[in-house]
Amino acid sequence: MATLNSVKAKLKIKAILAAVGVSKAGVKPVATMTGGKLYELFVLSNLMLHLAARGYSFQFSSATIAFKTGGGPIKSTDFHVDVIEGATKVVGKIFTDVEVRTLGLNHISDYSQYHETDIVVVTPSTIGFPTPQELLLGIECKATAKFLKSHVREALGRRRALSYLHHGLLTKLNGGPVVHANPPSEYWLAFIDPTGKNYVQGPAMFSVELIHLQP
Amino acid sequence: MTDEELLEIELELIPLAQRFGVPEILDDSLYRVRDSIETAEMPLSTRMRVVEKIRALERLLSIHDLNTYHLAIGNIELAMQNSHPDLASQIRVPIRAVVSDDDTELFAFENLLDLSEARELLRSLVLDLEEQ
Repeated sequence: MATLNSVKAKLKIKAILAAVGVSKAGVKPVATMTGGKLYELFVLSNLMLHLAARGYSFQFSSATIAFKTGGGPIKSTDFHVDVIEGATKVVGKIFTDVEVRTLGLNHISDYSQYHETDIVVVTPSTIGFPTPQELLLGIECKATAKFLKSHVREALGRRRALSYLHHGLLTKLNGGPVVHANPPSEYWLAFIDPTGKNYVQGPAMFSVELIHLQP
Repeated sequence: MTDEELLEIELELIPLAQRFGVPEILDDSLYRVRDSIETAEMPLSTRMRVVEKIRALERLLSIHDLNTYHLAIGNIELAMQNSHPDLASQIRVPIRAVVSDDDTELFAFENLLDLSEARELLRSLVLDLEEQ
């Protein structure tokens, strides 16, 4: 016979399923893309809080924050956020879903010459596919409910394609860390599963910062 | 609660993961643990595996929840409040967020479901299982 606790747990699950609409006939699965984009928005908001703490102000290009469905080059009409120093000096622009060129850009003619990055801060005049020199800060967002070690390997591979290992350079954004990377971009891997905190030290050697951001 | 009962509960979680399009997050191979850096990975106990699966589902719901959208917009407003005083009067504050393809709006985040009740129930289920 089922114990009281088991019955109680099953009733809770039934209530959970009802609350998300599983019990209704004909309900389609929620689009998985939506979750990834909502997490990008959440990470973008945390990036802005972080940069605000480093003294920056912001200006939005429009009243609607628009995420693209896939990566591509930067167009002047794309939604972006100006990162402003003092009252007027635009020192960077935040874009989402951008394909960033790799260090080998002058020697590569296939699709491996760029990699999509979920959120970037680039130099103000950047248009098209940013070069590693134009990238000030890049973020990969992992909205997967379970953190995988392959996320770390992927971030390390991208870091290698963006910067050479260096004993230490100052980043171009104020208040940033000294990075072991040349060009000296900052690089974050943001994730929701706290298990990812067990993988911080190795990527830190290459200035890939693992940041646990969970709504 | 017996292992058999825990396995029954585990099965009941499947429709929830399917609803959000990622049934693979309940794959047992994702729920393993190491005692220390020197040891090999081991499967979790049945109870801990079920607890961790429920936690993963709560995280899954968090990235589909209208409340996360409001939290993000709140963070952005907070970041904007610290703007340079000379900029304060001209700052454009975003009022909504969408996913679009070129100029076609595909989805507006304001249409997300409020999943606060389901998330709260998942968290309380974790507490129930941990207390036993």
